[in-house]
Amino acid sequence: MDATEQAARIGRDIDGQIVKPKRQLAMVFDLNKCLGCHTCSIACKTQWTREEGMEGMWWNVVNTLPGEGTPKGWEAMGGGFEPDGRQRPSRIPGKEEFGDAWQFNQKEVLFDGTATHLEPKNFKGEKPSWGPNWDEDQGAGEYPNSHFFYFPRLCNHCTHPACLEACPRGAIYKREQDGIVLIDDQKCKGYRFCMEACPYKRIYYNHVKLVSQKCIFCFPRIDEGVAPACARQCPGRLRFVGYLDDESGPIHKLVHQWKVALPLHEEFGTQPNVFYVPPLSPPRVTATGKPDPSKPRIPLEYLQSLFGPRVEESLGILEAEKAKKARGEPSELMDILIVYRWPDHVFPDLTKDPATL
Amino acid sequence: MLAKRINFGAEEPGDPAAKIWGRFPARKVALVPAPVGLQPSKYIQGKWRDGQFGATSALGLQAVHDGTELAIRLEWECEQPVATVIDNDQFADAAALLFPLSESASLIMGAGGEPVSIWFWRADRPKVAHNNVAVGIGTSRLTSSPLISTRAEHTHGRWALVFRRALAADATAAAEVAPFDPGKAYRVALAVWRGANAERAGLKAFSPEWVELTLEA
Repeated sequence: MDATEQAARIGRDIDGQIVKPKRQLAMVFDLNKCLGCHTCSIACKTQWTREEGMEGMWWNVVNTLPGEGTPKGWEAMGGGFEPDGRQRPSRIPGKEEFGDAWQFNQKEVLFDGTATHLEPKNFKGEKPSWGPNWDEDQGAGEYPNSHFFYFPRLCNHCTHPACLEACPRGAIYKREQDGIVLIDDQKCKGYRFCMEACPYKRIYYNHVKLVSQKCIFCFPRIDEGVAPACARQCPGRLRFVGYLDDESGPIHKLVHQWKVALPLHEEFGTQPNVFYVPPLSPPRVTATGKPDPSKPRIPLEYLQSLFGPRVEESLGILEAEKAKKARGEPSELMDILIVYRWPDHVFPDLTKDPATL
Repeated sequence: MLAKRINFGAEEPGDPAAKIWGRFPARKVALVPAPVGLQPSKYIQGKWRDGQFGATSALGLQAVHDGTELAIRLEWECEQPVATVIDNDQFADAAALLFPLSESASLIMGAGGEPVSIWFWRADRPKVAHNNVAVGIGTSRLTSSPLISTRAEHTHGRWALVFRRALAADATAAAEVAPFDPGKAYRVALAVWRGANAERAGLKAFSPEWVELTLEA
């Protein structure tokens, strides 16, 4: 087997074994620090998706949860793998479900005077019924127990990518040196089986270039020692980036040592490499107006539906370490999550300033 | 079947509705769904295992040439034509001709060292077919030449499509382009995709046997 054949096996199920890359880059998002400012999404948009055909693409998107997300209702669309390894059938999300880049009647309002109000139109020329962040800040629950949290999403650069397995042309591959999943746009013929198979629905179709496109983990920046744009620009310093096997780095510590960072919908079976520190919440308020510390405002069952059964343990560890820190005792976990020194403590291997290149 | 040699001058064979096509009977070519087991990904095999694709059961094949140019006309039933793609889940109707570039090339997309040339037309770019070279399933690669012009019409629930290409092929492109000479016999295989059924890639109806095509001397 030559090097090209070997590289094409990475990320595939070969005789029941997933062929792994040498190392795996990963991200951890601390949801307790996300302020929903969308700086990450804009950093990505300005860096990568400004060309024609990419108007509606948000390789990184920050949704409000509980909510329908982007594309609308993606969690119920299928895709990924069954426990026995078979791929689950799914469908291709439409432009309206992703939230199209709308056209506005600026000319009529601002120059011609033939209309008085700006009105958006979708790609069909109709009034939009959904957008990339249509249910922002809506959340769930009734006052005083209403709740929501912000939720950044991007390609999970999975260890067993359903997109890679689904492509009939071998156009999707996983880099040997860091596990970044990329679509080769020279090989892609725009068949969109990847969009079907991806259970996270983080792949878009470019109707101008006629190829599928998605987050590239800013690999040209990674190759120069620069952090991905979304992570470097994050004002909340909540997007940790690093190698999963680096025992001294924050990713390994949060995922494997402290076990507080959890994958999203692990049951989809693709082994995602983006992890989330789940959100703590204040206690629910009873009918008589008293806080009930036994019940978090964000229902545990909801968080379990996203992050699985380990979320309760994760929240418990976070609470305990937070309490330690509040008592003036040392807590390595809290120190990691606080990120005292930027950028060294948030993406230690990728600290180079892109302006110096 | 025989591609008659005629004078193209007044006949306009590039028009699928031209009178010339009424003068020669069409050869009916039977099509079958591409085997699910040959689909090159487990996802496709799983989702389409019930074989609900490739229902186009036949097409009509006609061909004429004038000594310098070949015109091939296909006609097939398609009740729900798709010629424009504006949403992510839409796929255009398509058709293709496949010619072997070596004696023993497989009509199932060729093989390593046994390439095939594929003239691929899609309804959303109706005026030109792309020439692809393939050396196996999932390997088709677009080539920069030759020019294959096309014209298609959808009427009464049927597509009629004409491909036109110069007989001669650039000698430097011999590995990618099938040359044609009057008086010689060639083989061709055919495929049709129904866009309304999300057919693309290997999800198609194809002719399981070569059709012999002889250019009249």
